[in-house]
Amino acid sequence: MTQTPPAIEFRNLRKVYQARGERRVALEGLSLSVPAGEIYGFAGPNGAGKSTSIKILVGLTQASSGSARIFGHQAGTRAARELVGFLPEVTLYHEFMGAEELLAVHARLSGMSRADRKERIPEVLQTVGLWERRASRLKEFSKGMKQRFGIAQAILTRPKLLVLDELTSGLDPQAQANLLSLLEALKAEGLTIFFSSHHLSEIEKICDSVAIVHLGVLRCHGPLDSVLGDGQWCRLTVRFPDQPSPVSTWVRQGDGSFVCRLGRDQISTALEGVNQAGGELLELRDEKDSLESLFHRLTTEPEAQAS
Amino acid sequence: MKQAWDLSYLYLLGHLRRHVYAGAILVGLILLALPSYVSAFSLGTNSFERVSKDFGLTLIGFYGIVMAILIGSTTVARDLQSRALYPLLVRPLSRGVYLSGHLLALAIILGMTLFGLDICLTLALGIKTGKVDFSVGWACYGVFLQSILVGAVCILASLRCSPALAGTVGAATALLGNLSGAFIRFFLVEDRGSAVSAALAKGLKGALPNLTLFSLKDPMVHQLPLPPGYLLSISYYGAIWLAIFMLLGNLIFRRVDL
Repeated sequence: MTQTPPAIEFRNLRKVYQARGERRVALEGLSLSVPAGEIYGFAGPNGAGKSTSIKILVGLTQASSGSARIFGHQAGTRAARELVGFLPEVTLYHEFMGAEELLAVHARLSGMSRADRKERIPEVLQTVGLWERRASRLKEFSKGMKQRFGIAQAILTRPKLLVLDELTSGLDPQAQANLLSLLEALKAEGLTIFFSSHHLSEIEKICDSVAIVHLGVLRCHGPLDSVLGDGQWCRLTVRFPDQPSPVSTWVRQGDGSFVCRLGRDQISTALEGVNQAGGELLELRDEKDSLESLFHRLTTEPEAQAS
Repeated sequence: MKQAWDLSYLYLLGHLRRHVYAGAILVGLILLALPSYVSAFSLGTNSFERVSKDFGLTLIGFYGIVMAILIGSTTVARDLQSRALYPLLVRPLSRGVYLSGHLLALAIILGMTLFGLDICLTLALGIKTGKVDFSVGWACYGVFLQSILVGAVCILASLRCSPALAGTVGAATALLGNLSGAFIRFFLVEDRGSAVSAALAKGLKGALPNLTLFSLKDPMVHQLPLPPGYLLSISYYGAIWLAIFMLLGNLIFRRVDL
């Protein structure tokens, strides 16, 4: 039985830019595998290497070494391009064109037949809610409408993989929410969505898995729950009879109680310590990291900076 | 090739919707009025026709080159700046085809414009002289070939430099390409005695297409016969240089990280 290849596979990807004798490493040995059928978040601060990875994936930039594959096909090849839809970051498109008119050009360039174009263009414009504005020129569109048009051109050829670079950057909350629901609807249709953003709340909201990249290096990746440590961490709240706390890792709260975040394997030892100190256990509950705190930890800690 | 046509449709619409033909309308109006203006000097029928043709074809030649430089130096640059080429280039489309689409659109808009200007001048002369002279059309064809080559140089240069610099490269090509051997001999060698300048001019000219071959104004104005097969020869010559420029463009552009 043949195994289905991952939707995206970066293997030891490296990209070095050289300008005026200066070398800048944008990606350093990035290896990542994105399973098919997921919404996969790709997070990192500005300049982390997200856009470079995406451009290599869609064939706009060449890797210095390593490889990128889309459903087993080498990125940039015709076979890979036929499987991918791409929405670039902050694109102005050809603003002198009408929405339907430009989609028709994209459809012809992708080799769609006349009959297929006739059926598919109204379909995608309805999907993104632009059917009423199909004849309007793109220069008349708001930023949110342009992003929706971008999704329409990206899904036009029924790709298996949708790659979105900073989809919601600069949009108002309503437009952001609309686009995120659109992505969920597209996922339900079977698309794999690879989605770069530095808006962590939206990644947390809609992604099944996440990867965090910083300074061109992959910091962590995997299903969101496992990355955020769901089921691995506990929060213990206790009250000690005589202040202060016996251990410095306890953090004092306003009501005089102390809290501590522990791994599951440390709980029994901690409870023993509380007992010996005559403390009273107030609460023990599961706790998971927030993506924001994880992101900050991975992208600002001294070792992250050093590497 | 079909993809290049589809792209050329996109860029042609862009040129038309940005009203790049506005200048051509003005030039067309000048050409329509030119014979009447020249005849007011009462130079005699023959002279007035020659002078009108000479002025008219000079104007058309100048306009064709300026239009090729303006469009050629900005058409790809605008796409690069707005990143509008990203969604196009992720489609199953080669970068060579993308450049061909731009060139084709440039060729169509230049062809349409020069044909329109040819009609204006031929019509104005026909009304004044009472006969239709098609020689203006052949001269305009020469201008078309010359302009498309200069436009291709601008497209090529704009892949690596700013639109302003690409336009300058195009203008320099037009200037050097039109430099006659006589000019180099008399003004750089005999008059100024500058062997270095002359060698430099000759070297640069040798590396660029000889645009003087496309200048059919003088034979058409003075009704001199062209050697048999001349138009076909210059068409082949232009096509070869165009292919060289596109090949170079493709080689440069395929390595560019977007």
